[in-house]
Amino acid sequence: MATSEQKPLEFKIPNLEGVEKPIKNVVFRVSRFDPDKDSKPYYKDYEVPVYRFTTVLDGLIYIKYNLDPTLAVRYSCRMGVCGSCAMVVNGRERLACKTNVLSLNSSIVTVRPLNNLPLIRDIVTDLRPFLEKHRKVMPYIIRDDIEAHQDREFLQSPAELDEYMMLTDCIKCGLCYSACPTTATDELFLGPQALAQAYRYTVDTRDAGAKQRFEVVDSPHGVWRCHFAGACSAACPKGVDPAFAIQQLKKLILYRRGAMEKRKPAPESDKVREGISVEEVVKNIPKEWPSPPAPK
Amino acid sequence: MMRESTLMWIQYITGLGILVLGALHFASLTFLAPGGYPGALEYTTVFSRYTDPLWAAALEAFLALLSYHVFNGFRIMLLELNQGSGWSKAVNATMFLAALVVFLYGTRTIITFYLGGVV
Repeated sequence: MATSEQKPLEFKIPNLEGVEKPIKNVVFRVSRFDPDKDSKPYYKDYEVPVYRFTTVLDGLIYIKYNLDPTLAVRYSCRMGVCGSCAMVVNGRERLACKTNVLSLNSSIVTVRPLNNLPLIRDIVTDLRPFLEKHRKVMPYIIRDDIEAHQDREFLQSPAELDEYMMLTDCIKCGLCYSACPTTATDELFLGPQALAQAYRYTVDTRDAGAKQRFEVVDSPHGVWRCHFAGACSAACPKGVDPAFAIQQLKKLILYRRGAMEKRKPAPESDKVREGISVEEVVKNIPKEWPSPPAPK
Repeated sequence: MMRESTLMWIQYITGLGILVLGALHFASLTFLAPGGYPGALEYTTVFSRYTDPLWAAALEAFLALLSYHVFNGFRIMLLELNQGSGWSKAVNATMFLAALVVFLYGTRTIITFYLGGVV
């Protein structure tokens, strides 16, 4: 409760420069293509007012709502989570929602669709080839007893989780696929995203699908076609390192193929693992969760 | 057809072998040549290398490694350049045959020199 003796709260007035009024106008050079009318893509310029926090996606939405409603652009979360707004901005693969226009330090922002994927319209590409390759590497836990243990988890230590944790941040935006020079020439190449996920599930100790996955990735257009350019890792907006995962996958196939294929997956949660049984863990769980402290 | 990983494993091993035997080959033609560098490429000096069983064996091994490494490298490049099952089969068969031809032709030269004959 506030009393008359309490000091009033002090608010620091933020620097509002570029928040209330636009800082400058920037030309958005956007790739346009209508399959019903155009034989090939062309660029069209739009002038967009840019505020301090305007992102490339904000700029494209401004164009769509104020200048040209025919512009096709795919987006959803606007916060770098869904990966829908992946595109090539000023020659580099980026998420439009995570790219501040002013950070580009350019009076012209060139926006074009992702490379290595069929174009649907304007800057929207067909992600199906990319997602089909992802599906091909079986990006899920494979084991015989999975149906019998739907109601309980499989045990895994934090160290085992660390083996692949970084790779779980993949949002399947397709930026790495667009940046990959091998994918540009070899359309059957599985690509960095799928190969990184193949590694992620193979090293998961709960998984026993190494044999099936190696059949897919150890092929003429599989893991060996990666030349370690590293463009995929440089393009990833989530800090995933597919280039590293691919090299690790090569190592796994060359040195530990037999061991990985015969590996027994981690037991389900009612089996003793590392000296701790689930019964013991369950015994120590409080019967009722403690209530939050009452407000004073 | 071997697994891709086996083919690539051999590719890496042959690459290392080429590094060692290639260095030896160039050394044999320069500072390891009898009489030193100035006369290293004279016919009699080169001929003496071919008639020595150890040098001849090293040359044959070098040829074998190169035949595999070079043509498997070409195979990889061509498979990345174009795709399709017909293309893959044609590339695999052509590169295998080309490697075999180069290896047999080179072997013929080494054996001919080793036996003392001149083509």
